[in-house]
Amino acid sequence: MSYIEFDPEKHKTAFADGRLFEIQAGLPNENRQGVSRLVKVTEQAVYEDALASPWFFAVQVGGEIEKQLDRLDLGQPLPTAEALGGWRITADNVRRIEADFDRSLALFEQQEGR
Amino acid sequence: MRIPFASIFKSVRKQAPALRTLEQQVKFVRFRQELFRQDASALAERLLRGEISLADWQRQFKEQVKLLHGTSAIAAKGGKKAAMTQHDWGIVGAQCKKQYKYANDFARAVQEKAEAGKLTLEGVSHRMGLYANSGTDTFYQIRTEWAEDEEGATEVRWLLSPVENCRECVELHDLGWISLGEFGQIGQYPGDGSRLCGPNCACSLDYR
Repeated sequence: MSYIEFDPEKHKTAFADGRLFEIQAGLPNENRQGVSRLVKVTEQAVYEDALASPWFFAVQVGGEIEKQLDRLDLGQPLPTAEALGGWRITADNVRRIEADFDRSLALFEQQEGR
Repeated sequence: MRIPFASIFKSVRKQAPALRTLEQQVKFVRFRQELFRQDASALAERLLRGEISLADWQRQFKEQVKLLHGTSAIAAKGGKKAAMTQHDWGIVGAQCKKQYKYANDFARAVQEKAEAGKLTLEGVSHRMGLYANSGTDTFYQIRTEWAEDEEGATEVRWLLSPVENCRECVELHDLGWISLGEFGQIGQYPGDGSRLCGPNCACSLDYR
């Protein structure tokens, strides 16, 4: 079992929409077919899982897809499951959400007269 | 389950006193939804004035949706940011995925209306505002787990909106107190858009 890491900044729109087409667009033509299959299966794997998220950047793959990945040159080695520690939200998203929470809470407390 | 002392300390230190009770948390979530409506309306205005492109509007709207669901999730944890788990973030993410799909259809509709010269601020603002209640769904999904795991709750009941309710919400309310297990089987939460009231659901939950 391997993991493929998506760059949330680079692929954010495509990944958020579950289409991942930007990944395909960034690859040489000869690799498109394999990635199309990867995208389809990845979508199913990701979004049928309760832990799935549009901005979780690690997607578990295995079996046939793992073999296909082995044949693709994604320009970087696939990190191991241990290295990624499973599903994770990007730190940048957490930071933005937490900042928004603080801002909203401050306004709420102001309104409540605290 | 063992919890490291450091986590407990961090969690306690960062709790929001204003969100100690379920009632306060719900109030905050409704408040945040109002902020979302205001932000959405301002964004719609910028689009209509031509200050931003449709693509920018779509991107920024999705960001607003993400922040709404993220803050709703943290509120469900009593404002304890450090208590958010990857599982919680996963629920937030899955919700965003669902809403992003609606937003994509919405963007297509906006483009069509713009091309036909039928785009109105009221129309765009109103439809954007409909996304606000979906934050309630995220809140209760995470809050229900928190009630069971952290507060020892075993039962839940569906509370109707004081204003107006659809037949399906009334049916859920009429079940009275049910076990969290039964509730899980039903698989519905206020604001999830799965009943007749659609995105207008303003019901809530109570635990004991």
